[in-house]
Amino acid sequence: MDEVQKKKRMPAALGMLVLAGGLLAGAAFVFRTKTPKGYQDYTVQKNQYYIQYSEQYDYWDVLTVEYPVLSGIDEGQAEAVNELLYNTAMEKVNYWHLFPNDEVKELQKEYQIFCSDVHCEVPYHSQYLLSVSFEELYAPVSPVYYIHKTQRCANINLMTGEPYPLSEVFRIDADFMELWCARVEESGAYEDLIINDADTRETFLLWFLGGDAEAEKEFSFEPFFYVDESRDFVIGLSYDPKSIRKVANPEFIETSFSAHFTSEELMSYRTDSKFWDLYAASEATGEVLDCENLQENLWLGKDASVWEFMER
Amino acid sequence: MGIYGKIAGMTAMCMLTGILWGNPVTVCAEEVYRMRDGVLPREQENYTVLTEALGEYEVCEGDSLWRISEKLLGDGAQYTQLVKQNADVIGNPDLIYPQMCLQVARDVYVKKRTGVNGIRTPEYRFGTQEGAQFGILECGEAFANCAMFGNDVSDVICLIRDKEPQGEKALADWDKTQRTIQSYVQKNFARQISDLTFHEYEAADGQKLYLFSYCYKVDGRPYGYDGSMKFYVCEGVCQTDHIQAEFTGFDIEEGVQDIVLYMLASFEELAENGRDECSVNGYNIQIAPCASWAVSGIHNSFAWIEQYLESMFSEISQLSENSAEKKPARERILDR
Repeated sequence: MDEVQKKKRMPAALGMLVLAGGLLAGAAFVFRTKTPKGYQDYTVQKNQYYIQYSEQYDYWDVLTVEYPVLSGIDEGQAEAVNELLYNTAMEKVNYWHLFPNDEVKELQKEYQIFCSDVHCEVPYHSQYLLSVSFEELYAPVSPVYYIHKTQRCANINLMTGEPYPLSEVFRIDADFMELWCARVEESGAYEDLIINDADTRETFLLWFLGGDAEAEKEFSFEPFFYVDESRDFVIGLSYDPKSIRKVANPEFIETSFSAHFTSEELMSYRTDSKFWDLYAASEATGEVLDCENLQENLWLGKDASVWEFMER
Repeated sequence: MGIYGKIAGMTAMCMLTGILWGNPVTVCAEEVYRMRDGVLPREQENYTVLTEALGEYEVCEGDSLWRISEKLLGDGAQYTQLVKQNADVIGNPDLIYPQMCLQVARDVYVKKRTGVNGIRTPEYRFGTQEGAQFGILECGEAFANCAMFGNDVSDVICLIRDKEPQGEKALADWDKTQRTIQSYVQKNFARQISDLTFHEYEAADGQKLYLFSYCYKVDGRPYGYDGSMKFYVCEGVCQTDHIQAEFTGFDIEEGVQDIVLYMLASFEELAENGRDECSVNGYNIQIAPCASWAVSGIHNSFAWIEQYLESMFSEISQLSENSAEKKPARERILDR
């Protein structure tokens, strides 16, 4: 009797196995189709745009802008990615110095010096994704009284050259702001500037989403994120002055806020962006090389005596 | 000088040029002020010797010159000065008698201003404290556009003006001026001011320097604080051929008198524009409040200090009130 029952069950079990195999093969096929084969062997060489007293202007210019240059991927793609990285690194230099608008041109008449010191880090680089963080000290007008410290990032799909802005990758809403403000507050990095209260959360939500038209007349708000070595995330916002009325801060000012989050903490804020497929399939590859002959910024570098002035 | 020094110099220069309506000025606040009670003979050429007459002393039973010197000059070893100053009455330093009257004077040594350090205009120059910044000091209604300040330095406001008869008169009869000031303080600042002391120094070239020092106590209660806070203030005045220079220094620590004395002792009128035409009134150096008071011709530092400190305490208490009530995030961050 038992033997009969076993014989009856055999075809059903075989059918199940075939079905499961089919599903697995299908999933693998779909994954292969969605996630193209990435670049296993590429190089990110850090370079520096260096100018010291170019004598082209009525003021002194001292610029040390570090930026990454990618090679070893599709040539056309590399060109587009490198252009994007270079422009991101040069953003403030372009705005305040090389390509000034009429208002900035007026301010340039008052400049003593324009200086900028940008450093880049490439904390995450996989066969599909490149995550770059730029930290900049820049001084519109004078490095003694008007130093700004800011941050911005670039996260790039190496397959398409497409950048991923924060809002495309994460759902930025009131819940997220609660998490972000709480983390920033508990980090203690910004003293009492950011607290996890309703007013602060609402204000930052507007700034993250670009909804504060009045403030945007004077400031440029840039939400940013980067992936770190542990595949966790640093998420922040910079608010740099774009109006000349807002550069006259006599003290050193940090114009960006950021906080660190684990990948798990952000799970519920993920969008359906392609980024997440690439992130899931990513493994660290590529090589990052330091800038050869990196020049120190005379006015803003770590040994610049302007810091002695700040300490006083 | 490093990059900072150049920038700071440039900034101070711009500020000063603005204040002084284009008069050429050199500013470089790098001088170390120094005042000592005695220096080695080989160092004396680097110091200006100022003599302060302390008055007459009647010898008591059991006194020795060492003991008198220790008591009056702060150092027994300076008894030789007493011998020199009273050569007409002291024949033998080991023999002094009760009721003998001695004239006591104290020498102080003030480091000479060296190099280009300090403030220099075509009409005058003087040394300033090391690390002092130069510019406008203002709080509430109190204002001074020729002031020294900075971290770890005493604040000093300066009033440099042409010598006028009222000022000359006030200094010529310093004893009377002292009495007038004492009585003014008694009447108007008895609660706030203590330890009012007067000093008159004479340099070897006959230049006289007049100082008065006091403690100004600010009661914290009207501003919401317990207790009080003490400020040491010193006002110094000197006159050259054509200029009257006044420095008012104040600090929460003692020692401001040394700084004012150094600045006064280093004050020099320059002959670069021709002595007969020397005038500094075009420099627009201003101090406010500058109301008339019991002593004509000398700045009323009491009223200025009162105004400045009261405004400062009001602002501080206002600030702490404001910080207690949180500003909206937008204002807190964008208006930093």
